[in-house]
Amino acid sequence: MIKIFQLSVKLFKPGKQCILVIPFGDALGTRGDGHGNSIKIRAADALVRAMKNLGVRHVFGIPGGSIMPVYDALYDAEDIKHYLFKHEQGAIHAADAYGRITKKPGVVLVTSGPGATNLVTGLANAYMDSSPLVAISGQVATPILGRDGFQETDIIGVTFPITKLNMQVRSPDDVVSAFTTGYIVSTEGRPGPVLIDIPRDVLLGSTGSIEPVPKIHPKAFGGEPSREEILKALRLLLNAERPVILVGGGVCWSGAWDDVITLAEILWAPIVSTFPGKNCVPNDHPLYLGPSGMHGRLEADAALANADVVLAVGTRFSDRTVGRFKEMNMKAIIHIDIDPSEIGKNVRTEVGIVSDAKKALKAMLRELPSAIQEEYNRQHSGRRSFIAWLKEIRRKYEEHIEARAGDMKPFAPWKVLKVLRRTVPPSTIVTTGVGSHQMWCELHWDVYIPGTFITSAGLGTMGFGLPAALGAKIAASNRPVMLIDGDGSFQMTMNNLSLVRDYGLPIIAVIFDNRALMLVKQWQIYMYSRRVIATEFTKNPDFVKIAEAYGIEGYRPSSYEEIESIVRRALRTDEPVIIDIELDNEKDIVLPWVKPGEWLTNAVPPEGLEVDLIWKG
Amino acid sequence: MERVIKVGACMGMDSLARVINTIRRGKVQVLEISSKLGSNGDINIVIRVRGEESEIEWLRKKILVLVDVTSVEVL
Repeated sequence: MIKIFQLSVKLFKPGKQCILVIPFGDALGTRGDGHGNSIKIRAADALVRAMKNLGVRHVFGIPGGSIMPVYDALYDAEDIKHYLFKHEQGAIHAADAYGRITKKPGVVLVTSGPGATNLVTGLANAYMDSSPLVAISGQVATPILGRDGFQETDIIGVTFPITKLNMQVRSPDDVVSAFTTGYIVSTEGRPGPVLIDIPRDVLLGSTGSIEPVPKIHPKAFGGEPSREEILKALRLLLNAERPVILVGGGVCWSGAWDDVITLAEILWAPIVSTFPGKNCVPNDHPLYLGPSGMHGRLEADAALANADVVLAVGTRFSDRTVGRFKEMNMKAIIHIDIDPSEIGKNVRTEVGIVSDAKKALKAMLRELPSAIQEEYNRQHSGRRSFIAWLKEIRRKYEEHIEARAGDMKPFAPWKVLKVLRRTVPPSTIVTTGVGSHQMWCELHWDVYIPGTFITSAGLGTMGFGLPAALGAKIAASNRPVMLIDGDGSFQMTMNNLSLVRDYGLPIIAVIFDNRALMLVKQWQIYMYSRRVIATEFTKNPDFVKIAEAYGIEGYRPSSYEEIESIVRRALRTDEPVIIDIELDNEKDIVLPWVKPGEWLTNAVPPEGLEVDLIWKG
Repeated sequence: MERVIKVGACMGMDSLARVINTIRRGKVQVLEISSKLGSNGDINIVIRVRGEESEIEWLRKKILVLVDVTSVEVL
């Protein structure tokens, strides 16, 4: 034990620029024995007590040799409930969704080696979607470290590029500090995942260092934006002919949807979003046109493509959203983001504002004198014509698909979504997998309350949906949670279905079952001369029987009315259900679609729909 | 153009790995990297790169947002 202490490297150095003491008080609730003597306790117990005092109430994971001291400490922690998953990937996706709902980091516990490496996809997913979580991996004991011990993996080396911060703790005295640091770092500024790797002997060691200080803290980006930048941005917006507001996921984290809407209403500017940004603005607002990009709405593509000034808030300008950067660079772009490295990363910006979205938008609203608004309203009636044109594109598209709904038998995927939308309450949390069902959701699922749509947008992780639904239900047990998944995506993590009955998590799971990796097949049809290979399942399992095997009601409906009836019953009885929606895998093609590398105006519309996405004035 | 990026950080070898992972993804040619480790995890990293100004500036910002980086200078 003494050797461990001698070998220990202090992770944190007080007094450095990167250190900030956060006034959490005594996270352990105890400092000594009351007589001036410090009490030494097992580091694993100190860790669990720190979790409790920081407000952790749920943890997700799977035990194993190296992490067992933490599980042993959890044995006595009545305030912390552990959810045993069937695979670590499920646990971390659940923690990811939990973090998105609660705005507090989800906590994951895994053992060393395969336990830790099974987190990799989940960490990358959370990193790409800026989702807060803290993963704690057990590690082999320090004397074995680096000697290829049983279940040893250099998980720190593996996860450098996919974590906001990772660290290996080498001393029992650093365990509490490391966790507290990770907990804070994961939500500060731009959220992200943190991994803390702790060797078994460190967890078993004794520590008197139970105070959660010092801390490494993200630098203070995103303070008050400068007035000069705000005024410059406003001048551009006021003088624009066709301003458009592009909403990204940062708006949701910042809680800035009201400010976005107020600004849009004052400016008469249409709102479009990224895919995650769809979750950040009420989709039924008249100025919201939908997501733009690869599987965006035609009217949103047209809006962004024809805008002369774009106010982009909390977005990283993914190629998936804008298609091609060349044309975007010809517009005047005002970019607000809390992460300075996002400004100018993919597109050239006229005004770059490093700030929290809400702070920046509030400043814009403050600086927008009403006199200017009135003057501009008189001068810019042209904006109304632009919006009317965009709405006309929407009308044509909606009428066209409605007229052709009968061609997609037995169900048109988008129409299933409309049925589900009118059946479940607005507060229902929806999670998705990845694939064509997700793209149908991007096009046709209306988010009424921001923060209720959880999807793997950046990494595009098939299998995300089911564990995310479980994590969402754990985070918000009083709200309905519905999973909309594809058969391919669902089968990647469906082993976690057992948690539905293990822990009483009544989710509604809707499977869009086309017996194919349909979105990949769509690319094969359109981009690889219909050379369809390795995307069609010869035989799927019977999902109704799968449901029954897990003690869940399963249905295979034959009409839209039956879908509605099943969902209403599940909501009324608060019982879980799996609904297998059979789709025609020749007709289940998600259109409109902007092919990779194409500009937005080149969107492929549904067959038979003729629409020009270039504004002629 | 050639530039020297000087980085100060506080988590020793881990900071070095994080900075290298960031630089590796930039569209620059790395000509030289050297580092000096102090006590308690302090580390100074000097990277000489060749590339476009905008790309070097993006790298500066990308390194700056790393949690354990305390300073970044481009010379």
